[in-house]
Amino acid sequence: MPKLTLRLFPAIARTIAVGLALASCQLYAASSSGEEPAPVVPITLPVMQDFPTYYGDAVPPKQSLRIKPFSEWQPLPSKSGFVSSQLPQISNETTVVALALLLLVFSLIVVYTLRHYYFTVNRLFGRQRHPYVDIDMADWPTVTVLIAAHNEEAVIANSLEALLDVEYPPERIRLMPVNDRSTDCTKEIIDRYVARFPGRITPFHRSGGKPGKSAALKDVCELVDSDVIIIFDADYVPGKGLIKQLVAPFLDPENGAVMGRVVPLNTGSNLLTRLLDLERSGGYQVDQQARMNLHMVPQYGGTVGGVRRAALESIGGWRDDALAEDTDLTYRLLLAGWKTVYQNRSECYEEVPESWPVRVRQIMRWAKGHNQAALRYAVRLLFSRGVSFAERVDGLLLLGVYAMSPLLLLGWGLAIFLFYCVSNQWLSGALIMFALMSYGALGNFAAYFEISAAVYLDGNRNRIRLLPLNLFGFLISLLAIARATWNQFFFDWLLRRSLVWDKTVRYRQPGATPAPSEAPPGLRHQAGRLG
Amino acid sequence: MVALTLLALSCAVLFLLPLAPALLEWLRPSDAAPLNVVREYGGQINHFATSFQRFVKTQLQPFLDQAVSDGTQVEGSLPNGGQLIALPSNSKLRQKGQEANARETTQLILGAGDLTLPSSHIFSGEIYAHGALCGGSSLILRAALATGDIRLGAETYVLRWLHADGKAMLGESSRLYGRVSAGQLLLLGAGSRFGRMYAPRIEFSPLAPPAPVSQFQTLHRIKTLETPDQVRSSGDGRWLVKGDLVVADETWHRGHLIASADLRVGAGAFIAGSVKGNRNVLLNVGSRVHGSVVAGARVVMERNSQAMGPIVAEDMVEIGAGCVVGTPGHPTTITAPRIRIAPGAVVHGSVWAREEGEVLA
Repeated sequence: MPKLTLRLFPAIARTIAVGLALASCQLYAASSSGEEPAPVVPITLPVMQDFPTYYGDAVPPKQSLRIKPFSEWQPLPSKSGFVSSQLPQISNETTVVALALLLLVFSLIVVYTLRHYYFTVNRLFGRQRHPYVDIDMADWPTVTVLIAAHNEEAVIANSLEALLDVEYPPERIRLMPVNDRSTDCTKEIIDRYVARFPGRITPFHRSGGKPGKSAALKDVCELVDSDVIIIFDADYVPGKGLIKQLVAPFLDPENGAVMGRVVPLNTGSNLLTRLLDLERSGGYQVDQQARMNLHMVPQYGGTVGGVRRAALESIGGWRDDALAEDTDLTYRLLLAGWKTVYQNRSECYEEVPESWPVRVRQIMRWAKGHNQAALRYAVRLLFSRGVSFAERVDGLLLLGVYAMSPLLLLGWGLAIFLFYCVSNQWLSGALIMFALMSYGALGNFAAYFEISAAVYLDGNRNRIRLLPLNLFGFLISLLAIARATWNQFFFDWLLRRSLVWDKTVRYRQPGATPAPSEAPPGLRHQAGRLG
Repeated sequence: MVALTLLALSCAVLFLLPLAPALLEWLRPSDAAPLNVVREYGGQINHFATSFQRFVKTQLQPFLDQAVSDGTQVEGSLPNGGQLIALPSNSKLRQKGQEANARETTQLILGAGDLTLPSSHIFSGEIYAHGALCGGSSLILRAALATGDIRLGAETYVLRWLHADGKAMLGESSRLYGRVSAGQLLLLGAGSRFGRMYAPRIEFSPLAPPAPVSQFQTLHRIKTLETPDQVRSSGDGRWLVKGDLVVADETWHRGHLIASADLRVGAGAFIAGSVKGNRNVLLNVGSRVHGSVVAGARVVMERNSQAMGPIVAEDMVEIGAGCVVGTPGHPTTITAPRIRIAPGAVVHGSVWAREEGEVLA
């Protein structure tokens, strides 16, 4: 299969390039109005006579349009009229390549915009899938709950208290706080709970080894013998029914992983937390649930989720070199024939970053991890036999999400470059279209539509007024992701730099309890309405 | 200069005006609380019954005590202004003329012992019986709780919930719109409709199911399932099959079976694991699945087939006569938008029809 891939790539690349160039010819002829004595012949394909093309002297025969092999292409004549450069320093060929790249970026943005719309419309009007949410009685499998903790003295006690109170057969659940090289009082707090609740908590204190959550999980999983592994970060405070909800999908033998919904707790702290609350709503309430509805690839998110031990073992366990162990796991499971399930009603509070530098570091870490997964799995996914068409397309688009930011910046650069370097007027039209589509992808039309739908489904109202300010959040993410990608490809790899694990800052004070909620089931937000 | 200033101001206003609601919401937050996540609710079917029982014990016990000591019907009011009637054990509900004529009681009813309700009557308040609760046919109940058994006649309507600590028996053509649960046994008559039910044993119309055949009596007589084409297997016997999968009659397999399309378990076959079809799953006559049965569309269990684990379908579950789901020691769940169950089937555990459940007539 890899050989076939290698053979196919040049052909595909050539076809795309020629197709783009031909499309450019037609566009040019249809809208050209420059001062040069350009052949202003309104073209319809059957009568393409005497029209100069970048084939050079060779003129396509009448009544048909033939594509010349790439190897026979000739340099553009200086006065051909086709995307000719205005600047002597820039060759015509450069402008052709730039235009082809711009159109490619433009096409990708259109694809992602349509994807946003598709998900949102599905979420609003499509059939909603929650097949496992009603399972309340079963022969429950054994579960180990891992609580990843690195310097978590402020929050670990709350998490343990909440987990000790969950409704799950006590003989079938084991709590295992994973104290990963903490230098604060995390160890002492955990040990106090172990002494208070003998037999219910099995601590795992890790004092050395490779840093990072993946490495810690890899180490601890060697000690786990339960059927299912559920993972929380130490700042998460699960509700009573959450463990059963997260375990229920594993009663389906096809499922290898499950993901619940993460809900920001500190929304009211400042503008950033409020914007992140909107963004998270869109991501979970619309994106993830739509993927679940459409039998695509819901993403395992690394926390408020779980994995089947047999599935994990079948793919070789956690990879400690994965920068985003969650994305990595999602794709390895998919390729090995396991599904990931999203449970929109399995909600759990988390803290979101309250300062922009913390947010930027967080998203840069995500971007690097996602890009790493894209490089590892995109080609395998494209040619995998056991994956459905919908999963293949969605999986590839999901892998490319973080690559879109640098591509978008590249597109902007190319558009500006062509605007100033090329004489053709139609490009200004393309520039406008590109700007519009960028705007759509960044804000108003697609992602904004998605967030609005999510807020509506959540039953919130006034917070939607903040929507226009999300543009600033998007722009900062755009630059952060582009920077992360640049660093990853041009510094981390070239200089063989290893990732420094960057723990997200906690804001809760030690002993502070998260906002409780006692709302009766009938008064819940979206769950009842969209059931 | 003035013109330029005005132009600049106009542009600034035009730019900022659409942002005004956002800026106002930012500076004066009116909707900044975290999304409401219910953390204390575990999803138990008897959640409302338990809360109500707690309420009766903590708030209404004096009324019951007074009714017992007076030996007559006592009326009172709740903290929220609602009215209640407390009855001593084995006494009959006395109603005022208007209520008796309208055949509707709006008060909350408390019974200190066994309680008998009249036929063809609407009870729009909750009912509590510290003992058994009996009623005739054509009753409409909002909610009812009995610490003993509940025995109601045909065409009973339950609007919100009903719970019996002992047995609950509901007659033919009943309509159970809310939750119905029982501590020992739930018996539901033919032609009834239901939503969510739980009991250690649920019977559908009073037909006894056939005794389950022990797996060890037959296993030595049936053959091992042959590996199908296009299978992707893992070491633990999990088979992933592209397309349809047919398990031949009288064969068995240890492990999970997953088909990307339909899956059929042949008559008398036994699967020591779970089965899943991404379209339909059919369990033929007398087949047995030791684990879950999951379908992307429909699960059909034919006569006398058995499933020990949960049954999950995204469209419909149909259960034939004599089928057994779950065991007394391992109660389980049946969940689907629509569930149709034939008389004579037995379920141990929970049945949850999100749109409509029906006991076939």
